[in-house]
Amino acid sequence: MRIKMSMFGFMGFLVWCVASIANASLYVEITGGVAAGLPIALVPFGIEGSDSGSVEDLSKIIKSDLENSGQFKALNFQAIKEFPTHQNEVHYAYWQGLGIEDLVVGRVKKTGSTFSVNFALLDVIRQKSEGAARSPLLAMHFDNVRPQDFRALAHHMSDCIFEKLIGVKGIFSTRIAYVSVTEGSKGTTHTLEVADSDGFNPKPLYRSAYPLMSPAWSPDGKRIAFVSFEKNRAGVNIAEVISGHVERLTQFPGINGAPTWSPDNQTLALVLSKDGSPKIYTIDVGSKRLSRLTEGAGIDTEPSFAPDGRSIVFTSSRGGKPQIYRVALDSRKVERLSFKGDYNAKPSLTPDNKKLVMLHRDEGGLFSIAVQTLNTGELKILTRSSLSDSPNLAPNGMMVLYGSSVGGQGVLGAVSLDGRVKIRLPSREGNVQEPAWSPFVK
Amino acid sequence: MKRWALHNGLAQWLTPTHYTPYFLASVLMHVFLLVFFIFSLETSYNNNQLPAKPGEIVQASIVDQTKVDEEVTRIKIAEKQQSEEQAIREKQLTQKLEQVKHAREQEQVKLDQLKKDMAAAKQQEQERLAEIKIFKEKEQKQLEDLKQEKEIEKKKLAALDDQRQAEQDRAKVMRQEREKEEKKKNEAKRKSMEAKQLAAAKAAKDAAILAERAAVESQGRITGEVQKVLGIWAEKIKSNKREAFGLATDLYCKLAINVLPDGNVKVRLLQSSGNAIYDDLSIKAVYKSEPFELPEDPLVREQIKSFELGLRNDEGAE
Amino acid sequence: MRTKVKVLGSVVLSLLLLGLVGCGAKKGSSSGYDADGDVVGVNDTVRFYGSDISPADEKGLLAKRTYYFGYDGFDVSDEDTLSIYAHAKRLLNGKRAHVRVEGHTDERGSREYNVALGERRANAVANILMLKGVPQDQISVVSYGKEKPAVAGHNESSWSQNRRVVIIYEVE
Repeated sequence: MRIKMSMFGFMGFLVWCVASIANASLYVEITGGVAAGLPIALVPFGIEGSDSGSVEDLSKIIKSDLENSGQFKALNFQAIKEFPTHQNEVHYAYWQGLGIEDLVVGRVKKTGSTFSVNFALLDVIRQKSEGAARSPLLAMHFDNVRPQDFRALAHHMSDCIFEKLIGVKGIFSTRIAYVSVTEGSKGTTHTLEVADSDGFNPKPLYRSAYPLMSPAWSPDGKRIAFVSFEKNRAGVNIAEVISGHVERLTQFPGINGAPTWSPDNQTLALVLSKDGSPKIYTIDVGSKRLSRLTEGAGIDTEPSFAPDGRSIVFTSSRGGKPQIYRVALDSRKVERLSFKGDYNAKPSLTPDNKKLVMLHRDEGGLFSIAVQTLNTGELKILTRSSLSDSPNLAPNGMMVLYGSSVGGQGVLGAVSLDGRVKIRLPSREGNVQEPAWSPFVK
Repeated sequence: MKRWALHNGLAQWLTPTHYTPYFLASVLMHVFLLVFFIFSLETSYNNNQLPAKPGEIVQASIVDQTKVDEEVTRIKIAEKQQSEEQAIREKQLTQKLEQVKHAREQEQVKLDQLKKDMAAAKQQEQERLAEIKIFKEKEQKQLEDLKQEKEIEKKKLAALDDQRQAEQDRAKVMRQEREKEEKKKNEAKRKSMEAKQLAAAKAAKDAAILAERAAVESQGRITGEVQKVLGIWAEKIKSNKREAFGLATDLYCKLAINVLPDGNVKVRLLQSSGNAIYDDLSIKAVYKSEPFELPEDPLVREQIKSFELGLRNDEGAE
Repeated sequence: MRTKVKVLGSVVLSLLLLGLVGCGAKKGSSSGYDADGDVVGVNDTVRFYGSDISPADEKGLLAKRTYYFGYDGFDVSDEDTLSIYAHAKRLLNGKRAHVRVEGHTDERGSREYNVALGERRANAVANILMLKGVPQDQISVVSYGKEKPAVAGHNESSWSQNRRVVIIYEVE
């Protein structure tokens, strides 16, 4: 009793305890909690009618997805001693004893050349405390699943679990585009590639002996704009993701760079230096009608549309050093957004329009991925390394992909917007750079 | 009494009246002895002066040798005669002194015996007095005891009367209640009246006990206990509340919590935060904190068995 | 500033005459010039071009096609200016010749911003050519930013070799 009292005395300041017994209702309030990932367990799926090694392990892919999101703390497979494959087989006390809040169980059954898959997401805590009356959070069934669809199916399951438990759309079924640079006997090869969000299943979209830069997905996910330097002339191109067809959109003297799509898929913003200093232009993709958006002598580059499509944030040296500005599309009025440090570039706004992700050079000269809260101006550094660049937001606004360098090799990293989770995407030989996250797949 | 009044000083010493004659005799004897002793001392003193006289005589005359010799012889004889007389006289005196001494010693023995007798008598008297005193005290105490007994008896009798009266009253009340009950029963037919009354009586009894306790206990102490227990519970819930990453800020939800006797809880969402995820993790935080340790004091337990919990997420949640 | 340029120019010229041509690589990163304009003093140094330079010297100047810059710098050194003059003369003499002026940066910072910085460097060189009378259609400017490093390292000695402008004869 005494221990508890002293404990209360010690911890009391953490708790806002407002107790009143004047009325019948006694009230107490707590603020905050423990910052931790959601403890989840993924039980290896049961397999009927086939060898366990014959298909991709769905629970393994889901586990990796959820862990990479930074929102989950998944139980190690070795720690699992019970192997239910259906909600009816679950002993909730066992899982609660392991500190698990949610549980995923499932079965794979081979029928002919395809598989049928069942899985359920179960709320361990409330199931145990509120009883059997509760139904599973998710219970899904899939038929005619081909072995090559297993990864996509697992990502889809991850998306469903993520959205159910985190309340935000999952990004596991999205794709990423990036540029890989490989050295060969015929010199350097630059390849625009598209892969799953976890880096698996890379597919080349465009190859060139010249540098390739700045891939940008159209909001409908059907096209990718990028910069190439065929015959040593910069140009902006548009590639059809499915057909692989590439068309050159602009090839003005000087810079043709930094393309970015408007939310309605109709307009590209880009950078041209045909009239002097690099400036932001918009071009109608259909009519190719060009319109200059910014003026002045300094460098304006790296445009990015605001989520509402009514303004563009960009990098400008108009103040002497590169900083982030915003220009309204209707009034062309320009305002400065970044104020901390003397190098802020490559801006993008989060889907809620509240935060600005950027490349920031700190006092030590290191280039870091940083996020600035717009209404407070507070700047938070997410990664710190000398060679980070190309920050690119996930469509749900929770992760930032970026290019980095490890041992002189270009690699792709991802960091959660709160800075808690940093992961490295699997890379193959050569340098991988300039990641671009696709929109949600419909 | 009149006689002792004349000798006030003595009377102070001599409280026992029948010892006075001995004492008087003793005093008189002492006076006599004293006078005798002083007189005898005076006599012996005069005799002691005698040896100085011959010297005066020698200095008187020296004339002729023969005469002188005669005279010397005569003197010598005389002297011899004188010294013999002296010796006799001395012997007589010594004898007398011896006699006096002996008498005095006898007297002293008598006196000592007298003193002893007196002390013994005194001692006897004191003992007797003490005995009398103890006896009197005993008597007094017995008297008092008797008195008390009588009073107790009286009280007992009175109590018995009261009891009888109370019994009579109770009997009366009971009779009345029984009558009432019978009336009620008649009014309400034969329903589950008994059970209801029993429950009501129990509740009333509980309420009465609690009311009594509440009256006795200080309200401040209970409030303090309740706050303390709530604080411990709130800390436990907080430690089980997982702050989800990337949630909107300034979320707040309110839960109604009923703590069951086994320490488990029933949770009801009173006010949603507008974010289902936040509501859910708040509810889970409470369930994860089971069991809640109930305080022993029934009054505190009564107060705390249901309460409302507000959960707010951290500002900035990062 | 302009006087300083002249004096330094004379020193550089004497050094060149002593046969120290081709040491530009060393000079690039350690150039003492401050970032205060694009093509400062070009008109005043005209006299260094033409009859002052012997044919042997001109050959050496034309052999130089890479010019180095300080960190965040866009200033062309006097030594490099002489070389660029030589290229201007050659372009003026051979009307069919065409050069591509490539701008590059080191690997630090944002890619597209580096493209803009590289273009500024390339323009600094191209402007000297044009100021010497080379028509614009004989010059094309391209910036690769940090996409085509000359040296692969990740330290200042590598970076100083990557902050560069290269003149490439597309048509000799």
